[in-house]
Amino acid sequence: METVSLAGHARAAHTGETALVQAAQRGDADAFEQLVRLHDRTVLRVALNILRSPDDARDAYQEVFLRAYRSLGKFRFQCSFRTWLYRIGTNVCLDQLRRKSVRKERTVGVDEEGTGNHILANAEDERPHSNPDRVLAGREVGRRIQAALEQLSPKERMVFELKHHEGMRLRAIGETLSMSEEAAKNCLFRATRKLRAALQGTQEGAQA
Amino acid sequence: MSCEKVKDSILLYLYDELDEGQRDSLEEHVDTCESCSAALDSERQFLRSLSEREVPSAALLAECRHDLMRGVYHLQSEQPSHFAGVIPVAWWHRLRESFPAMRVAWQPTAALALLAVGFYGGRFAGSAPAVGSFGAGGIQQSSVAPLGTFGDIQSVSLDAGQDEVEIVVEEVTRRTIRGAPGDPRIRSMLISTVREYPNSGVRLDTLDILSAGAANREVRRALRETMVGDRNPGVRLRAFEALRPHKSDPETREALIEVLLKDDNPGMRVQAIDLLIENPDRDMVGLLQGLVEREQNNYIRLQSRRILHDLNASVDRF
Repeated sequence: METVSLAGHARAAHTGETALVQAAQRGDADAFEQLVRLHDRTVLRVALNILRSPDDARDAYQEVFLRAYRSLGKFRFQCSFRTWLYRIGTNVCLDQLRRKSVRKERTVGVDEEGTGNHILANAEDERPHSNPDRVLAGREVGRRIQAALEQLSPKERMVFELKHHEGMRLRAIGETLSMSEEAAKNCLFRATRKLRAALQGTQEGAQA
Repeated sequence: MSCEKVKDSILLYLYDELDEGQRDSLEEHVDTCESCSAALDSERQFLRSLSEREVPSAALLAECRHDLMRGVYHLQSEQPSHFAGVIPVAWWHRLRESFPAMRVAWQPTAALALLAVGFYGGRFAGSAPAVGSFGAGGIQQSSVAPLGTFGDIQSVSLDAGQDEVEIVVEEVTRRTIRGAPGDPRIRSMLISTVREYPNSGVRLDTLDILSAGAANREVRRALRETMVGDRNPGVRLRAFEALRPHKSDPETREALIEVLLKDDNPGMRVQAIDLLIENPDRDMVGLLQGLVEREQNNYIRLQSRRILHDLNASVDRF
């Protein structure tokens, strides 16, 4: 008896991603939509975790898929569609991160009081010892991790996100970010080292 | 493996980046070395502590998809050669006609209708650019729609002779329409969406809502048309499921026979025959004999033979 498998996105399952890409390149809107639905959760999740703002993630999502839509005709299957799309996604997120960090530097630069605008400085008043509420303390841990993540370079942050949260292989991360596997590995080492140092520092500070 | 090498490899081990040999020797070493075992636990705990992350809400994802559809639509109008005909203009116009009151505030009746309507409503509201004119007598709008939030100013011009400025804006107001699923106007929108909306995900969402109202004749007709004619097999299957409780309805049976004879997807044909033969009758004999003769799918041929046998009918046509 023939297997009956039609639930959900049956077309994707039956014809495979390559066929969908080819159909989308011929102008099949339904195929493009299915490609979007295959990957958009991951793209949005990465954007949200890298950019830490739903509005920015939404902008990034839009930019990623519109860029993909515009460039689909130029895609020549030299890598998987997924890698190609994630490459667009990581570039868009990295660009936004860089723009954000430039904005932040400008803000710090005009702060004549010298209090700075660094996230760790802002977090100081809310450290657990100044607020005994355990719930707030838990929230504080999340904030410290976020502050630590912001100390990473955009590329380190992206490698860490793709490895730690998305579970991608280092080789695939390298392909996505146009770097060697070795470079991706070194990036991951640097990222975790920096995170450990940043979190240990703040922990000690909080306990002092 | 030395302690130094183990400590260098712990991160890659935890991230499953070591090959089998390296993994085995690291595990062997850690089993017998307290210091490396502690280092491994510490690194594991550290990585776990970093695992908190945000997951996008379904609403955010839906908004993103909605925005993208709008974006693609605009690109399409800029590049008519690509994706031409994706959004049938006639479809918008037809819906506008079937829902003339939508531009004024439309009061919700009872229950919340559906996300798909939110999708659709946004598209609908955005499809008509508003043109306003600021004359000596105040602001006059040539469109019924009020000037809400707008994104892109398309052009600004001054007619010096008439002392009048013309601003053409691209409206991006999103409109959500709420109403009971059984409300005739909502139902009419849902039916139009299922029949003609280009996005199959939205058609699926809409079918889920319509399924509950399949007691309505118009809804059943739309479900039959979708089951027979939708280009997406997943959507056709969903319509089939919605019609399952109405399998004895003669019109549903006719549509199921059409699926059985014409659907190019064997899975759909299998579903159709299985449902039809739950209530076999002698009127099906000719159909079943034809299937035994021509159907390519083994299961369908076997089922047809079996039912013919149960009906004491000949397998062959004479």
